[in-house]
Amino acid sequence: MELTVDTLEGGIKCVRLAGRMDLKGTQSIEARFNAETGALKQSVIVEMAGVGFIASIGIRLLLANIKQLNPAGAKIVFCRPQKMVEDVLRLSGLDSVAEIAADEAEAVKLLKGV
Amino acid sequence: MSATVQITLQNNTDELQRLNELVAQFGADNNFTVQEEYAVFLCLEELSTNIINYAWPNGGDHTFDVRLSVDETAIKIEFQDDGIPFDPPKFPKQDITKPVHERPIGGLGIHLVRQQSSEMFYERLDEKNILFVKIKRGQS
Repeated sequence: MELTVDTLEGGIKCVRLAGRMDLKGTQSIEARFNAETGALKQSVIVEMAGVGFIASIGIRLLLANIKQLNPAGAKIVFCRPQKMVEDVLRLSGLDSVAEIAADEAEAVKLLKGV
Repeated sequence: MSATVQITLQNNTDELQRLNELVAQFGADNNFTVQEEYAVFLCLEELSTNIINYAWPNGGDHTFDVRLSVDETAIKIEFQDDGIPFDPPKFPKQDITKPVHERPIGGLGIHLVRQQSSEMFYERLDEKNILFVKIKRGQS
């Protein structure tokens, strides 16, 4: 999998993921994803347009970091997931602990809470 | 129309790549829709990983079989392993509505298989776990 980090307008951080979030793919980005999201205790956009598949191992990684951010009052906003991936996020209940945005502008708004 | 493919895998997660390649080809040959292909990949990934990680607690080299068949109405997946008894349909249901701090990190795999499949059936026969998963075709 690929993981890149961007800074958007207003200093908002965006972690972009691409590839298959299966066992192998998730393990390949796990340490960097933790370091770039949960460990920093800051709200972050996770852009998923390039993710074509997610299994429970990928959901676990996302949930673990949401749980780490939550007590610090910070959150993850997921941005542009593909249809099937979004379905799995929702079937896993991640939509009740994080927001899902259709595009970057909406993600920024949700992150700022406006 | 019907087709079947079978593969024997070792209890090593590196084997999942070989399984995925086989399934991608089988899906292309049999016109799986995007949804069908996703459901098959998900069921195979979750249930094969469970077998590899938990079927043989004492470790060692083992193999298990995965058989995939398809006709106009359904895609059927059958797993056979000689590991310790494990009945996925009896695995407790997940409560995904709990607040984030109460949410367990594990246990989601079988929850997702239940969501993506239409039937799951388990039997223990001749010291083997046999698990059938059915994915109905023609669903949106």
